[in-house]
Amino acid sequence: MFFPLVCLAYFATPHRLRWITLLVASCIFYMAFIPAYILVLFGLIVVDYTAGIVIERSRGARQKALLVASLTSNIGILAVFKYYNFAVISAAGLFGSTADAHVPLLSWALPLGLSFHTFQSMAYTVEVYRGRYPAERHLGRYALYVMFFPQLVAGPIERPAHLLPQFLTRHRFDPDRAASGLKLIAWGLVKKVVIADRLAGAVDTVYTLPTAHHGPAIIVATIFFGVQIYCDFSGYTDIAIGSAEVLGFSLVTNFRRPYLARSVGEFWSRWHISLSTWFRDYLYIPLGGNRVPRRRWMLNILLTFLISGLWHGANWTFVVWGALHGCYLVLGRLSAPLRDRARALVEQTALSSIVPAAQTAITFALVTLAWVFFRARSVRDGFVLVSRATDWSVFDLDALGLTRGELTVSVGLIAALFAIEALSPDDDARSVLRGAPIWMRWSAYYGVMATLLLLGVYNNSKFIYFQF
Amino acid sequence: MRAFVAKIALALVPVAVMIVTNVIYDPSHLLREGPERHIADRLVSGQPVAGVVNFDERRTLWYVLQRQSAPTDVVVLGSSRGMQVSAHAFPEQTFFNACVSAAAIEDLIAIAGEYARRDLLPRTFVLALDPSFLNRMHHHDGWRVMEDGYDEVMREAGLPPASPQPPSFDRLAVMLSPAYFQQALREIKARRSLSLAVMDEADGDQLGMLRSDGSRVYPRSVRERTPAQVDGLAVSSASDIRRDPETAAFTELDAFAMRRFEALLGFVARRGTHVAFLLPPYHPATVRLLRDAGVFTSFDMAERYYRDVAARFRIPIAGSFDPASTGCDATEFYDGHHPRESCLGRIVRMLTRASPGI
Repeated sequence: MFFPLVCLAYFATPHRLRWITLLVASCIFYMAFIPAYILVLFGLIVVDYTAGIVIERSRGARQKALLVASLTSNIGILAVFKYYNFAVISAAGLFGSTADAHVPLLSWALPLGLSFHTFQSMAYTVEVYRGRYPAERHLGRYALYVMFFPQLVAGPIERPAHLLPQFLTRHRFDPDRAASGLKLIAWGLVKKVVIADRLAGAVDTVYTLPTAHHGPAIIVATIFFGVQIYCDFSGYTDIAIGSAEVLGFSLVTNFRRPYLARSVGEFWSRWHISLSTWFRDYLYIPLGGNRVPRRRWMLNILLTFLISGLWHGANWTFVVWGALHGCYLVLGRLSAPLRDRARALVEQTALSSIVPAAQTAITFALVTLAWVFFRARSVRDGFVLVSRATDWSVFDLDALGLTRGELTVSVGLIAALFAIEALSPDDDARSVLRGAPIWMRWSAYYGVMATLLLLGVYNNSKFIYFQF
Repeated sequence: MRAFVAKIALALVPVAVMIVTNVIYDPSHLLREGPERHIADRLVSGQPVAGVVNFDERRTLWYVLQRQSAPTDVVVLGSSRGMQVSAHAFPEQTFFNACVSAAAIEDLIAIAGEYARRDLLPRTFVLALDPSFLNRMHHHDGWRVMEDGYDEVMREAGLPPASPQPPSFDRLAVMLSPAYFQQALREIKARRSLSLAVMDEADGDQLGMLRSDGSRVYPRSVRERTPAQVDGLAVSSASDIRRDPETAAFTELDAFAMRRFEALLGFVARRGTHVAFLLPPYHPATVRLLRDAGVFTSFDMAERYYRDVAARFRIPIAGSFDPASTGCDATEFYDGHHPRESCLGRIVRMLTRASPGI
């Protein structure tokens, strides 16, 4: 009921007051989780709003110092809430127990979506520092930039030049745009509730007790996880973009059919695009990007992906996941001449037509291997899963906890998802129906509704990326 | 704009169908009286009930007690893990299995208190104990149908009575829920009748049955699971237990649950009712996996507490959460949690051998 009420209130409010409607709605939305944490968010907003103005007025070393102070406060909040316990426990693992060191652990829950809105805030101050965007003078509108509820807790991570001017635009209710947004919301719901949550059970079963499972179950569960996290996160993104679209806003594209990528590099231009471009623009390029000697470039890539891994969570599993992707890219570049020669050879044979499919399959396999560590409860569990994945002595698909019927439905849904994505002329699933006759479109709409009602899994599961 | 509203209305037709189905079919009887009274009538008159799955076990028990005229010799209290204990285990005695699914400590207290309130306390309560009775996180509100019984035990022990329930919009939310719609469709498909049309033992054999002694017969599909299926379910059970937030929070025994448990023992002892403890085991694979994962510690802790209480209160005790010491092997389970009647029967025999007075 929240979203329809916000829409009604938004379009019923005069344009000059609409930012208040959206800001109040965003506060209510955020406070539905842990109300007190809105104070953390307000603190972050005030710091970066002030920083933006004073950075714009300053020059030289002072300007840089102000930027560093602003970034430090953002990273500091992240460090306290997200990484403090991880650092203490990791240090204790190296040097002795936390009890010996008398270092207390914090029992605070992580504020929802903290990594997303701190990154969005940092993007603002850096853009102001670089002179690419003027500091926002209106505190309410700046607060809305950080808190805009459709993308508040799991992105896409917006840039000020894209989102802030939209708060000044006079939006009229556009039935076509609203219908388009609602279609995207419905598609996002199908991905989340019908596919991701359906696959979650089998994934949880295997990943909770890795030693109880063998090759077939581990491989199926890992592929399921790859699809689950894609549907979970891109489903949320579709809902966020669709909701914003109903209100008249446009959010950046975050996914472009990533599992159709033919290399890991291409995967990263299709997966969580708003985060990977953030790291590219604010970390990788400032480190020198690829315009540096090869060794330094390799270091830049590895560092960027290690930090990207840590961004996802305070656990060594995410570090290993990031390191794997960094290694993939480094090895990919180092082996490029060899692979080019191999491809040229294959393309002269009858097998040339399978090259793209083979590249997609290899990329999928590499990405899926990395997902093992992303999902595992510990690095040790990750290695147990990888080693047991080769043990095919027991064909134990029953241990996934699914009946044969449920397994068939799950596989069928994955096939349907990839078929729809492959059939889309662009990266938008809605485009499959573009130009289709009315009976076909309405059949599809009812098919989506029926799928949601009949095959949805409604167990109050949260979005995976909310925890980041 | 009018066209947009018309499109939205058309698109929402399936949602309307869902709500109408939920309200009309209402598989869990949230809007109208369910079959509980009818089930209780049949049980009290000595007849089994077959084919009904969505009924409120606690409300049914409340109706059974309302209709029962004389105390039973032996009553079993516990969760679904104790539901397979039947009258066969207690020959020549009157018997009723009052176990309820997902029982919490409040259920044990409320049911025993309700027996006492109605002067129906049995000669012996067999408590089929679960570790979760001592888990602070394990609770629900189903037992409130017998809240008076709960309050009676608590009052006597000088402990706080049940706190009032806040108003809830749960029923409205359920009527708008696709999960409830799916449940309704599953039952329509399975042709399960709310009017208890299916009742004879042959149907019970197929669909599952509540015997007149309150014990449960699972549907044939559950009883005839292959060993491989049961092993798979045992692994799933271990996973479920490990990732359950209740398990994660179960690092120590809940002091308030222990006080209430001991208050219950004192309450029934003062009224002359004997108590025996039965610890239903978990599937061997489930136990092994949970031990490997370091999760079984809390189960061991709970078992040690129950054994300590048994010693202090001189209560006979048999069984163990670990099947190794019960003689129950992997073939004597339906899944990771639920032992078969043969396993529970063996433990009851240990109990009656150790304490012939039961």
